[in-house]
Amino acid sequence: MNQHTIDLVNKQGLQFFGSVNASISHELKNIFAIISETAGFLNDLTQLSKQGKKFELSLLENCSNSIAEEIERGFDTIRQMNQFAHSVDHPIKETSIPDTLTLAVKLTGFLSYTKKTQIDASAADITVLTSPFLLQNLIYRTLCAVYKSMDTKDTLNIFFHEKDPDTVSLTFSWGSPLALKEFPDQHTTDVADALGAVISISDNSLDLTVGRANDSLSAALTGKKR
Amino acid sequence: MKHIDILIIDDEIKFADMLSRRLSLRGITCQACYDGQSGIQWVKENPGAATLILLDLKLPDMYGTQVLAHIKEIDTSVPVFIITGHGTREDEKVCRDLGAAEFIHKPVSIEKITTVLTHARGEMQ
Repeated sequence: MNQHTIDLVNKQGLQFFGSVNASISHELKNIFAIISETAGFLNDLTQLSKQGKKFELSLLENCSNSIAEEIERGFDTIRQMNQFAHSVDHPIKETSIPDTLTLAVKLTGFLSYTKKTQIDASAADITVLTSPFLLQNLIYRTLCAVYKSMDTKDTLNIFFHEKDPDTVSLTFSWGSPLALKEFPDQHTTDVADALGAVISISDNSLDLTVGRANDSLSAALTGKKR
Repeated sequence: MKHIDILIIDDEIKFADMLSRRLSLRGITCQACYDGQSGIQWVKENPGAATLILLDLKLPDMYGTQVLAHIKEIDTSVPVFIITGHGTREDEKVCRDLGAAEFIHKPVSIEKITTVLTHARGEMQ
């Protein structure tokens, strides 16, 4: 991997970091909007009460439940934000495929065009020695491209398995045949090249093949050879 | 066809319902739709029946900008206010080019909505 590729990937990584943080901030805005309206409604009820007008007490209970639910949703969002932020802590590390997939699905869940998604829960954990941030970037980009092309009612199924001792395969499978729009684009290709990943696309699925280890990426990002 | 003051198209069900309740307490009639298709369908079935429309950009079935374009094809005169937690400057430009009256970021004050409704009512007369 040459310096040009590293610089390119770093620049795209920053863009990726920014766009994910923007989507998280939007999610938090929506949560605050609900809490704000609910607090406003509580104030409306207070004013009604001051005027001697009666209302169902269950309305108060509904409001407090709603605020508690939104606060929990906010905490969950911040947990994902925190997990994502820590993905840049180590340039290279043993990275869990199911954990990376789960976080990518949750992060793309903040986007308007996200679709129903199921990750194969029966598979055993698989790790690869790679850049967790770049792998997250590649999976996120893949999910975005698939979601944008999928029908609203369709479900995306994600499977992963050890293809052979040196490679892991991630399969994104959907029901109705579709042509992915402008994918892989140049950014995605650059990230995939840096990771040594191969993207194969058919009408009903997309495969990402990732090496269990990537010596050139490790050397480029850490300056060390294995 | 029943006339209403505000059609709210927003997939944040709690937000849409709570806003509807608060507006109802102020004598403002509302209808909430939770996705783009049902919002468009409501406008098709009730052309000219809403004084104004509050439209979110993040909808599960289609982009808010697509919904806006469809609504404007059916009813060019209805003022559509984009009300979103997701808006960028680019989104705002696209929405304004498509005929959105205003682009409002969430959270939004109830006073702001009642003000724009009063303004929209005035323009209708």
